[in-house]
Amino acid sequence: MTGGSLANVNFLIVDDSPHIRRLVTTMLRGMGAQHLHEAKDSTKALDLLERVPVDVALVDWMLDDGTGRTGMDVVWHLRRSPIEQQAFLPVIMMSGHTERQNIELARDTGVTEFLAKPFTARSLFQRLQTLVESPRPFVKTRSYFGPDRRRRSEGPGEDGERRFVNPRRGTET
Amino acid sequence: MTDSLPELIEIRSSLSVKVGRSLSPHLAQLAEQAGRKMMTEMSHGLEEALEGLIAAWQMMEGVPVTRETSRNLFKQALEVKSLGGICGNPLVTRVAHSLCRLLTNDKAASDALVDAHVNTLRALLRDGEGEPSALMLARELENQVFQSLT
Repeated sequence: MTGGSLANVNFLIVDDSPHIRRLVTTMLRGMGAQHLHEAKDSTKALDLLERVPVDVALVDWMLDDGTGRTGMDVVWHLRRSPIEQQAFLPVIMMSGHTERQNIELARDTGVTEFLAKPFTARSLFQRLQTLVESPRPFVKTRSYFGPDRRRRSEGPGEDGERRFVNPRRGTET
Repeated sequence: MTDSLPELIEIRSSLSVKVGRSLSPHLAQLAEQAGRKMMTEMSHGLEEALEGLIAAWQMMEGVPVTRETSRNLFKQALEVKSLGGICGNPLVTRVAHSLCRLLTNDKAASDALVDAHVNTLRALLRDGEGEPSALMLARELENQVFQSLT
């Protein structure tokens, strides 16, 4: 067997559906993950992020904790965090909101990958594989901070602008 | 001048430090095996989600629609859509997806059409998806939603 394992990766799974949380944690455990943290709403997710190390977050869009905050608010908070590990955290947004404008909104908020519900074990694996094998650099502009919204193989961004490269070797998030 | 240019930041995430440059493809099969073992439990979850949807819809009968009640109905429909697909009920997912589309437009979402979706979902879970009429019904609902949104 070649390739790395997920045994030492810290996952945060945020979904208000206990069934989806259980399914995701079961699939991740099946893949060898051992460090799994769960939250059912954005408040608990943000609290956990302050207390435990997280390497990957899987966040549902339509969270409901009575405050009106959604999974997108969690992403918004992360990308503005002064803590580097949070600001650069890979986030997979899970949602049944699969219309194009919703995916674009998720992208523009700083989501790293989008996992459409209903999802399969293979599609979950593929998103993790993308995070590991094709990590996106981050982009900082006056109006956006988050993963580069272009793939490496693509040309200049939609705005026609080129990127100024600032490699941060050794930075760990 | 670089202040006005988008800045590209190459990072080495803790994920890549811990996993390396690739993920073992074998993990996909292990995840699928783990997911299959959850099917019975997820089927119960789908039934609960449908009950939640029915309850959310019943709560809206005869009372003014609020942001909270309509959001709750939409969330329940999303849950049915998600679990339907996971449990191998593609028509349940199609009808729930159609309901989600309908609910995103308050003006299009007539009570009768929402009712038809909820009743169809109930019938699909009760009677299964094998009947030819089930597919026809799903298509008809999708068509009506399409017409109401255009």
